[in-house]
Amino acid sequence: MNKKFKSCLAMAMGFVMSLGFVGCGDNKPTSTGNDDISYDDLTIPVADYKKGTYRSLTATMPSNWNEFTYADNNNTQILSYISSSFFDYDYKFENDEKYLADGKINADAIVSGAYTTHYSAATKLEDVTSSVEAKWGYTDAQKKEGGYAWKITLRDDLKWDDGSEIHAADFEYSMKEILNPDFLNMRANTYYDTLRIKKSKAYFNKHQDATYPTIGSMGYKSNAEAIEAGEDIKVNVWEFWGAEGYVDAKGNACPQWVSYKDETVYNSVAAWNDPSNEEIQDAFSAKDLWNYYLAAGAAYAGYVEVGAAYETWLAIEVANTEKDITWDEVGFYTVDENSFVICLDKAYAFLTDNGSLSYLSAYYMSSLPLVKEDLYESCKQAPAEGATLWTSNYNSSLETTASWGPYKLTSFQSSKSYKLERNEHWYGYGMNLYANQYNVTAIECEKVDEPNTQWMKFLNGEVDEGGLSDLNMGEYYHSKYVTWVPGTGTFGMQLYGNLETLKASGNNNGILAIDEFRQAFSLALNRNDIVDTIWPGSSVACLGLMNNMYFYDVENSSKLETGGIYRNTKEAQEGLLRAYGYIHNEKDDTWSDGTNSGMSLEEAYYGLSGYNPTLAKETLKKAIEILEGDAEKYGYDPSKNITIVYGSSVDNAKQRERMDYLQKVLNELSKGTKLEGKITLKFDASAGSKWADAFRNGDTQIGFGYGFSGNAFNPFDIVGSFVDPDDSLNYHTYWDTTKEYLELTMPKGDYEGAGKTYKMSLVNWFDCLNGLAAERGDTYKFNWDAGYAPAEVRLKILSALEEATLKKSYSVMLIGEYSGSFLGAKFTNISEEYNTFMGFGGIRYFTVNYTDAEWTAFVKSNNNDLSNLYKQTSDAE
Amino acid sequence: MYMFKYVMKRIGLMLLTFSIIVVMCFVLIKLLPITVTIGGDADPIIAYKRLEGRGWITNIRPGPNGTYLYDRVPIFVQLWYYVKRIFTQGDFGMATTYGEYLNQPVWDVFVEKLPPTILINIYSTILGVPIGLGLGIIAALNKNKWIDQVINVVIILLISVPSIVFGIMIQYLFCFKLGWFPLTMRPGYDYFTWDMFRSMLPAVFSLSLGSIAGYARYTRAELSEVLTSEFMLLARTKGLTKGQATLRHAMRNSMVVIFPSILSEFVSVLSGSLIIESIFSIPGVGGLYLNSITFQDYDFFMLLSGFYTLVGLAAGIVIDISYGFIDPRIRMGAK
Repeated sequence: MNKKFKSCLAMAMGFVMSLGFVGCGDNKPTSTGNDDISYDDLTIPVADYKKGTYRSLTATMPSNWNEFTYADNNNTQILSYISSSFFDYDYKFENDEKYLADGKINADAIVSGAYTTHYSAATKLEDVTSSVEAKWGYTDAQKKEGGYAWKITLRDDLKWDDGSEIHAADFEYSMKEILNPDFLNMRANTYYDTLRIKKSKAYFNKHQDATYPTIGSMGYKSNAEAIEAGEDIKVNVWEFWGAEGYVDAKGNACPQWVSYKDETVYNSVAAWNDPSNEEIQDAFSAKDLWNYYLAAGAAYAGYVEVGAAYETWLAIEVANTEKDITWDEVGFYTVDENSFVICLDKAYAFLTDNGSLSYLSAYYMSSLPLVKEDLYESCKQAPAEGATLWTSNYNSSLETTASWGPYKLTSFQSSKSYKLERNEHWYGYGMNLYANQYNVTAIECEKVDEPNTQWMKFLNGEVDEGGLSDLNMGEYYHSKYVTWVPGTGTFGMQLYGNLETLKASGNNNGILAIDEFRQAFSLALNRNDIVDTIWPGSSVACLGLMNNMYFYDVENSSKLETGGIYRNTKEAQEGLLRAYGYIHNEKDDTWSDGTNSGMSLEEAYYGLSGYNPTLAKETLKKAIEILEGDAEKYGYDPSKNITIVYGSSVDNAKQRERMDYLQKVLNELSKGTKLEGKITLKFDASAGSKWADAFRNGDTQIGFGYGFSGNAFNPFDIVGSFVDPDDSLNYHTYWDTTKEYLELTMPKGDYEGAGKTYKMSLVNWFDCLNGLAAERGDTYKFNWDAGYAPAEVRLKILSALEEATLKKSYSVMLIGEYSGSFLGAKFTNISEEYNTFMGFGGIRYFTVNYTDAEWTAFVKSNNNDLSNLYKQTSDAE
Repeated sequence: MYMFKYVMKRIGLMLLTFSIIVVMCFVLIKLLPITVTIGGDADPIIAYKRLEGRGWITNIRPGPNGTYLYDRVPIFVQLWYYVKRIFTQGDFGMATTYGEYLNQPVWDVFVEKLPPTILINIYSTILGVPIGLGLGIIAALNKNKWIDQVINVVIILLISVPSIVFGIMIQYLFCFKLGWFPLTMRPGYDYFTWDMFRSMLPAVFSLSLGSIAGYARYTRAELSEVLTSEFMLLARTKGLTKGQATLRHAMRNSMVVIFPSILSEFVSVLSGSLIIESIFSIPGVGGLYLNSITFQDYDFFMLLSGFYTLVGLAAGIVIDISYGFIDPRIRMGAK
């Protein structure tokens, strides 16, 4: 579910993280929204830090760093340096002692994993929901709840890199332009879909005639309910009947969407011209289609029902009634020279209860789009003849670029290089927040395609960053100059288990539908070996559905013993142990894996590898017994081999090697059993980019390396990708989790359902966990969403869902995202520990070890070859 | 007069051929199914709108499963739009799907990228022609002697090994290990400075080795044949020295074959080497054509197809005419 939400979050996170380099931080008390904020003028003494140029490489040059239209993260490599933030994250320093007496950053005082949120380009954030004009339509309940309308006050010293001033009106102009319906700017959806500024979507779509949203998206639970409510359902006859190009008896073209009550008969032109030819007749009317195929109880009704696979074939036409909408109706207006108000359709808790900034402020409203009006106007490009879409080349070259960030673009050569230099007009250089940071005076980036060339440039000191890859893994894997970056990506092996489809495949592979077989396969996989063999340098072994980058309570992470990280919780660790066959001894609260017993939770958890060949073989034998005991049910023919199709998007040596690896695992697993030598994997890359559909359809049965990433702050939602059959990302929609039951006793407390034992379906548990149960008509309608149930309650449900999913072994988890890259000796990160919000500190916090001149001399003294230096594994060498 | 008529006729035919090829290219690229690739979570309709903006498709509407449907404008109507835009507005189009140059005028991009490609190829030709000819002449004059054998071995080696291998070897040895040259071409537009020239040299060497081998082989073969001709014997019997006979008669005759190949080499300077440009990070046109097809960026593809077709056809005429200057016996258009 919420695919868009997840990807939005992932995108937002990526952007926020990239902007994190332009972050914030001071040693003053964190500002609040309730008090007037004094300017954080620079009082910290200038520290004696070296300065230098940072030189980087890119394989693809950014081409469009326009906030309105940038295509991907590649373009943000410039954008992140030339823009600023209203609110920013920073490290948390012990006792708020960020600076030493000489002004240097007190790196030793960085609190592990913690962060703070600060004002940067803004000086004040106020919740004005209760005081905005009535025209914004907030109800009394919304006014009481708050969080819908926000007033942002800007610093009065914001400037462009040419020295011209920036005021609130510039932000309003920019918002109006990004939502300009003539341009249909690609990134406008961040503001109308994610942030949900009032009427912004209507303004953006004001030129559209009608849209065809699905029946479910219009709030109906079923097609029948929509009809009962008097809706005129439209059938997509082009898709359902292949009627594109068909005409009626008078030759009028068949439209794509036809009312389910429409009796007009359509047929192909050839059929109309030759009515005696029975073979080509294909006449239909939408009414007939509805009655014979799509109405409740008809043959295909289930496929087009709300939430079903083909629900998009039915729609409700929504005429655009807001074509005359004006900008005044959009929830964004300037109050005075340096403040504006933004009115939203959705409430956000940008401030905490005590009035300080919450992490959400810098997460969702790190900044709003800002373009330099005169320059932007000059970059507008009128549509070509006969077309309607305007475009802009703003922020696509040196001449069309304006900066209000810590750096400004000073040179740009298409397909070759760019250079950013310190923007002395940046407000941040006059703030304690950024004192003695940004010691990188310039950032030079060159486009170099070839990994070999990139590596040689790093080794001879021409650039300050390098990639860890197959090219250098052998010699440099343990280099002290390698920085390891974890990510939310958690990937594994998906095993298809829908028995009916497996039986119909003719591959004699019904054994995949037996839980014990999949469990045995899972236990036979040595994750550490997989990391070393298949994904070296880019992964770590991971056994859970979510790796240790997921937070269950990010807001309080610095106060919690677990750091707010889901994988660190007792519930998550115990669930994982049980999922991989460990047994809990209630009496002395110890754990046993069948061989060793008496282990504490910590001992058991950190000793868990998921690899148990002995147990795997035993489990396989059980699977074989089940298979042979009911061969007919599983469509099993003992005289034939079992063939399992390994799906891939491409046919290359790497993918073939992966399949061979799994074949070896299966050979070893089945050795000494009745299936020895009988299980064969078959490679199939015929689906290409449709690899996921091929797996979901059962055309392939092993999906290796499939998984999910993103949504780091909401593991409660991402588990839906495994247990919610309606989730568009779920690989196992055939797994009927409405019939898989789980019994849990809820901890005592002050929330609905506390202290009682419930047995409900997995999907019902998931819906309760996310506050969806009432909306989706589940048996139990508890709302245990964030804020409605204590964290330990939610953790208990989440870990139980994870455990149940892992035990089922449709999804066999293998690795977590973890990639290595080099930072050259010219610079050092402020922290060796990765922080979700701050990374390693980035360019903002780099310590410059050599000035440019010193570096040149240093490299020369090493004969222009730093290979030996970068092979060093510790400071002692 | 004969020549003038001949040239005019050839130009007329050239324009006819050019038109046919351009129409074929246009139709063929348009026959491919449209694939729209977009980044991140962006709304695909905007990518489609760009195609609509160029007059390629109309009536975009949502399809099932997040896809979009559209009507294609008839190909010849699209061609009409395209040609009209060029002749009335001088507009060769904008990149619509080639991500790196999205919304940028394709002509500007192409023109910006031509100089490095042209310079590197010209330098490699300037280096390759005299060395290649020289080696060929030496080999021919010393046919079947040890020096000829050595040159032949070198030629075979240079012809057999692709320039990408030389590129990597030169980069590793001369740039990385010995530090004589930078690993990649220097950024900037100061193409005629010493630093820029020095940074281009590894690529120039990599490209010229193949040319050297080619010229040497041609020259040796042609010159060897001419040197054994009867008129060479006559020249010697007239009292010319070996050097005079070789220079005045043998070389000029062998040039009938060699000179057109030198001319065609100059024509090819306009098309970059994808691999060499990639290795030495040269911001040239090498990858443009391939990527324009990969991304199905129509305006880019048509500009490059048209440009290279025109250059190729014009070069054909120039080469044909050049025969007349080299060999007076050849008269263009004469009956």
